[in-house]
Amino acid sequence: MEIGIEKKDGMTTISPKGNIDYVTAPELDEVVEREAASAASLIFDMSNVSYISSAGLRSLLNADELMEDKNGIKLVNVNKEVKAVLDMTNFSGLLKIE
Amino acid sequence: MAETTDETKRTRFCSMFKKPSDSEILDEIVQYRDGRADRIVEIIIVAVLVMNVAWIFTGEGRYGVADYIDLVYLTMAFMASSAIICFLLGSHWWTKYLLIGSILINSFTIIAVMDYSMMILMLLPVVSSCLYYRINFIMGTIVIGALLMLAGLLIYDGLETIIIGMYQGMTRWDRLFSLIKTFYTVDLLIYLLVCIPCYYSVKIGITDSKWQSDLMRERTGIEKEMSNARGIQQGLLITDFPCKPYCDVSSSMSAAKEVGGDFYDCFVVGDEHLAVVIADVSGKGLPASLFMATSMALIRSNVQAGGDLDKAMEKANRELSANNSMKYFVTVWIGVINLRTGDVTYVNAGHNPPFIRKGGKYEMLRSQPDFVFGRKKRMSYNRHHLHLDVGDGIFLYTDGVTEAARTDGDMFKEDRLEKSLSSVADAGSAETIAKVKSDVSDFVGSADQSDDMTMMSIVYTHPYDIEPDEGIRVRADNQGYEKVMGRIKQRMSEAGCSARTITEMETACSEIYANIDMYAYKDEEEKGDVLVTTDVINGAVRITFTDWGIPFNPLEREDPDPILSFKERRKGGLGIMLVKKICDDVSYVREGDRNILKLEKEM
Repeated sequence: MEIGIEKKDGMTTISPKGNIDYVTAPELDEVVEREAASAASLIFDMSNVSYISSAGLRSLLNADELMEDKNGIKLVNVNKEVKAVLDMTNFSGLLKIE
Repeated sequence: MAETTDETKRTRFCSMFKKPSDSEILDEIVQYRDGRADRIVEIIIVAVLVMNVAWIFTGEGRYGVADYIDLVYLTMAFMASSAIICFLLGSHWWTKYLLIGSILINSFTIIAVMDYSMMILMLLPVVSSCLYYRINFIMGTIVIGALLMLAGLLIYDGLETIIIGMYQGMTRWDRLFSLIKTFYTVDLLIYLLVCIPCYYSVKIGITDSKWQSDLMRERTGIEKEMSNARGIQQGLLITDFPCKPYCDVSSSMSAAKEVGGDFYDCFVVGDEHLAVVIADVSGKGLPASLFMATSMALIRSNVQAGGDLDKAMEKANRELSANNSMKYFVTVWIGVINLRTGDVTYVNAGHNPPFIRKGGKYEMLRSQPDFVFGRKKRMSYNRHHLHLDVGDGIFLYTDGVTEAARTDGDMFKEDRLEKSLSSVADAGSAETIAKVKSDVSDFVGSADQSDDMTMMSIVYTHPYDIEPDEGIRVRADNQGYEKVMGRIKQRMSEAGCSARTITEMETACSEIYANIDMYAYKDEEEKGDVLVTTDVINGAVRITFTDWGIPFNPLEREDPDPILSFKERRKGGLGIMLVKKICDDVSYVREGDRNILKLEKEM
């Protein structure tokens, strides 16, 4: 999976492309763990994610836990399908989504 | 905010069905009656005034009436002004007291001034107060009337008797006795006697009106429930028919009563069969409609379970007969169309023979009908066969159509139906129904519809030509995953699924595949195969996953508790919960050495 990373003023924006499923989620985990150490806050740009499975949700959860002591994580540009999954699993109430 | 809205809705809902209390209803009735009673009493007062004047002029009064005539005029003036005031101001709670009170005073004055013969006038206020239908009010009037009569006695006769008695040297008891011996005692008895029926007529009247209002309320309730029942019944009958590309189906049902006993049904059996049903329950109204709902459900569930049609119908009949305490029965014609070949298997349980459209001509389908449905437990039903080519069809109806009668008693009959159908022998189903309907209504004219009229027209338009997917078989690893997901996406988009449905099903399939990879084949080196088929049939996507791993039913895992913090439900269940939420139906079977998981979603 292609994962774009952009850093600006301590904010790191991670933009995964494609699907976040049980095959690709470990790649995302890797990137998140690496970036979480240095970033003040993590932003996930979801504009190029077509769907997210439960494995992907766990990755987001990991990221949120890693950033707990800092500014947490934020999801931006969430499309309808991904939003639906977040709603079904009650994640939308617990993650910051813009 | 949302809670408030719900609360308001609920309150509104409850108040809609709130029964007015007995006292509320009684109040309303009594108030209405009060108004009318006031007018009547006002008229009585006018009549009394006329009587008074006549009495004064005819000089009936003896014993120095003239001495008291001013008193009579005064009470007459009071009575007249009471009536005028009450008439002008309309009815209030005090009106009746003023009106009846003024009559009481007038009667008393005349008794006091006149002789015994006028005692009977004391009944007038009592009888008048009956008009108000109030127990306390009439009791009060009776008591006050009796007391006034006593007072009248003392004024007119008593003092005199006592004084004369004293002069004549009578003892105290003698004087009292002679007082009782006067005509007055008899008058008082007559008065009390007449009061008894007056009192009871009021009491009975009150009870009666209470009953009446109860009855009325009950009837309104029943009517409301009947219209609810009609709504439910209409809801049971489908209007959006399945298998549109292969069969053109239309139907019509008009119930003679609010709820009827006819029904039709049309449902898919397996993938390639369409069942069409028409039925007529003996009887009408609410009980028939309940029986109809049960019959419909039993036929549907037993036929959909698969197997031979005659056996399925025998089973449905057994179940229906077993719980038929009201001894209803239902006539049923059911046909199961093989959409691929056009072969139809049918069972006729005492129903009217349908018309079959073959090669542009309608013909009645004659077969020996079996016994009616739902009445005898051990009945066997026979299945018959017929064949439809493309363009052929079936027309089903209930006897309400053929027995639709004109005012002169002549019925529509099968030959008229056949003629009507033949004129639209190459039309679509909707047009066929419309034609028959208009012909029937032209025929009956202004006559009342006496029976439920139900019909269904089926035209076989296109053979079912979708071959089931033979599927893709891969090793259950990451490479296989890409292939499987790609194929699912491709097949769904080829079948015209929306982008949204595709993404949703991709999410669900991703979860299932991950499960198989991780649990069915735990050993990384010895990954087995997974076979995935994707079919889009009758507006539903069906995807099956078959693997040869260890027995594993992912559906048995409990859903994570949504109340728990999501950090606590880190492991497991989340993916399957997603699958269950996305799909309409998820099922698992273990067949031999295989796990088979089916996902289904309506589009």
